[in-house]
Amino acid sequence: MKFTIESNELQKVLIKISGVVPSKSTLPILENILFTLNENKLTLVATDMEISMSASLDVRGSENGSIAVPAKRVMDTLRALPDAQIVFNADTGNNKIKMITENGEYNLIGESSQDYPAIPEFKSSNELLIESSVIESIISKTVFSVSTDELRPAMTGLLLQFKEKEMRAVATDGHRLVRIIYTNLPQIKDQKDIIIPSKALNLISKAIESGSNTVSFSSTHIKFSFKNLTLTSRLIEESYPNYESVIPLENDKKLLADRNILLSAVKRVSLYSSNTTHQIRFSMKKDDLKIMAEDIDFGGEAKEKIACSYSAENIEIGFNAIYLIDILSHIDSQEVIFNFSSSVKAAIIKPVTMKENEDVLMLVMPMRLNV
Amino acid sequence: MPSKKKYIAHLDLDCFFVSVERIKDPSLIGKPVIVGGKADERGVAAAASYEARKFGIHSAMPTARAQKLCPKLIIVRGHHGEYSRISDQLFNRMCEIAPVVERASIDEMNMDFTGCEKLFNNDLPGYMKIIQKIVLDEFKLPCTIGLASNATLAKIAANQVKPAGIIFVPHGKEKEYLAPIDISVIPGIGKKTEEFLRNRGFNKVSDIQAKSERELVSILGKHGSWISRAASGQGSDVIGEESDAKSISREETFAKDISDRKTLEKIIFELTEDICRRLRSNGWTAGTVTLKLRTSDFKTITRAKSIDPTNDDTVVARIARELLKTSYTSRLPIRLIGVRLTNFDEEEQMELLLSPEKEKKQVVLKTVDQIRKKFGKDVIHIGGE
Repeated sequence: MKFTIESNELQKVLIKISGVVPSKSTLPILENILFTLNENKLTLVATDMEISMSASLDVRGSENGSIAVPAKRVMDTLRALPDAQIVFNADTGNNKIKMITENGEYNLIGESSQDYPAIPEFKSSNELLIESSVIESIISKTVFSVSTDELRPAMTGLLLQFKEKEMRAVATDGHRLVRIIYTNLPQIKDQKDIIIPSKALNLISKAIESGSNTVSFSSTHIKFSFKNLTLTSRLIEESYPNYESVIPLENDKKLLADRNILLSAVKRVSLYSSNTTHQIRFSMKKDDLKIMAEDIDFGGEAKEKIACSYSAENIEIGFNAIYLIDILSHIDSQEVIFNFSSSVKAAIIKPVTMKENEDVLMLVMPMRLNV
Repeated sequence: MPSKKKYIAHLDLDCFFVSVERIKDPSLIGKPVIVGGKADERGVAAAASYEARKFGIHSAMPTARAQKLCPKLIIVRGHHGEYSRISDQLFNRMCEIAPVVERASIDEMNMDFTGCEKLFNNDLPGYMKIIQKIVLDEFKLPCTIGLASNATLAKIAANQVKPAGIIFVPHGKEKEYLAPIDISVIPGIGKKTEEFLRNRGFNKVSDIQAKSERELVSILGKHGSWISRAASGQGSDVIGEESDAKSISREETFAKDISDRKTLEKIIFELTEDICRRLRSNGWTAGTVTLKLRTSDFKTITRAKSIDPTNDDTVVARIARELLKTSYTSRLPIRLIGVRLTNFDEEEQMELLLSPEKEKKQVVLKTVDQIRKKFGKDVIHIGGE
């Protein structure tokens, strides 16, 4: 197998797919990326057996073939090289690989392409044509609140619910929750729920290309097909908890504030909160919001007053500043609305202006205040 | 200011399991007894009475072999829950007596009496006799106590005067005391090292003392450095580190090195149960789990993992087992294992009631804690995953 390529071109594509490669695996072959050359088309494949990515790029090919290349070694080499032309030459008989630049020669040992696992094929029962910008928006607004608790596997992924006239994207870690309802998406045949692992979502957001893309899925797998890249992931086959039941309906205390002003105030005040709890306190009176924090262990406190619109009774409520910062950073409207009921019940946060056909709801659980 | 003279006592319950069985069944007194599995079940002796030891029987010996050595041997299956319960009670009682108490194993504990000399009329060795009597009167258990400038020496000394002995190694006399004793008493000299040293003419501790630390390292590798220090009477004089509220930990040194993963995992679970109970009693959750392993060559490995703050036994045990999997290669057996929790959080952050199981689990854990408080910690266990 032999081809010639610019080092930065190869590196650009490898960066996108190398995120799949497990750093330590019980199957050492997975620490490789499969290179396959067919005429002038080079296809690269990486998999961790749960998620597989494949990408193709144009090269000047001179000898077809296929070989598994150690991912870390080749990435490290490309990173260390200046932009240069590389002749990639692999002897598929003994798995010896030679990368030749104008001044250098780098020899590495690959593994037989025969030993590399195949990308799972699945029969897709649903297909959806969707804009990259929508995929990006869904991922960026939800993935931060996906759980990392492996004991609750369903919550370690993003729930997509397909209903008659809408699609819902839901993520929660048990402390906060995001639900977005889309009503302008193309219809699909089955009304079903799927849970996509967060690792797959993070990889897509790094690799996404602009334009229209196909998303196809079955009950076990999902596949995102972009122009030069595909990602196939196993779905999390668990039942998602009943999230609707925890979204309060009777939150009657409404606070309206400028998102940017609020976010920067929360960031500043939180610098003075306890390093372990990150607790800040919202104290609300008529048209007046005071944000406070104190660090009992190391001393220091901060408070800020913010102009807002609030007309319900006085209330104090504690929050983990990190959760609030996450939520406020992922809302793209100029103003936000908080809906509270009491200091021990979930608070709902919504953007004031939303895109047409997109309904965003975020929710955060408070922290118990000691005093 | 010169540092205070350290006074560390090592209390060792004499053939503890057998002593407990003798409380339950006094007819066993004065007879050769072992606690352990039956010969036809390939059982081994977990403990042997001194009468049995006269026949050459020792703990960890297969029961079948022990029976051959002493045909009249009585084999008792043992009540392990009971041993833990009594050990807990004794530990709590000793906490009333000594300023710092550390549990070394189910039947051994270390106590730090540093700075208390005047309180006991400058007669700490005399006070050890009182403690011995308290243990015998209140718990019906014979014990041996060694008192020295550090825990390692206190343990070596106690082992020399068992059973029912008391010994004090005065400050400055450590080396002199150890010199005439056989090298096998030094912790860390196992069968292989012992044989290796004997072949090179080391028989008494004084033979080791005659060599410099560097010479011993060149003969025994890194391990030589530990042996050199232990032979000259040095050792750990800091005990009860876990009283630091920033961490909760428990570790156990085994009588016999262990390499079986299943056994190690079981011990991890037992240690985890204990530390999680203490975590919950403070209303805390922990965000970091650390596993400590010491291999038979005295190399210490620690591995830590950050987790979503929890105080759930099964979660912590799972993480600790994962750490064992990634850090232990089975090349060498393990002599010590420990689990530590750090990075505490108060349970202030409220949760969405998304998973009724988690709520139920909290209720289960609370109930288990209450049952253990009332009836002892071995009456109930939470099933592993």
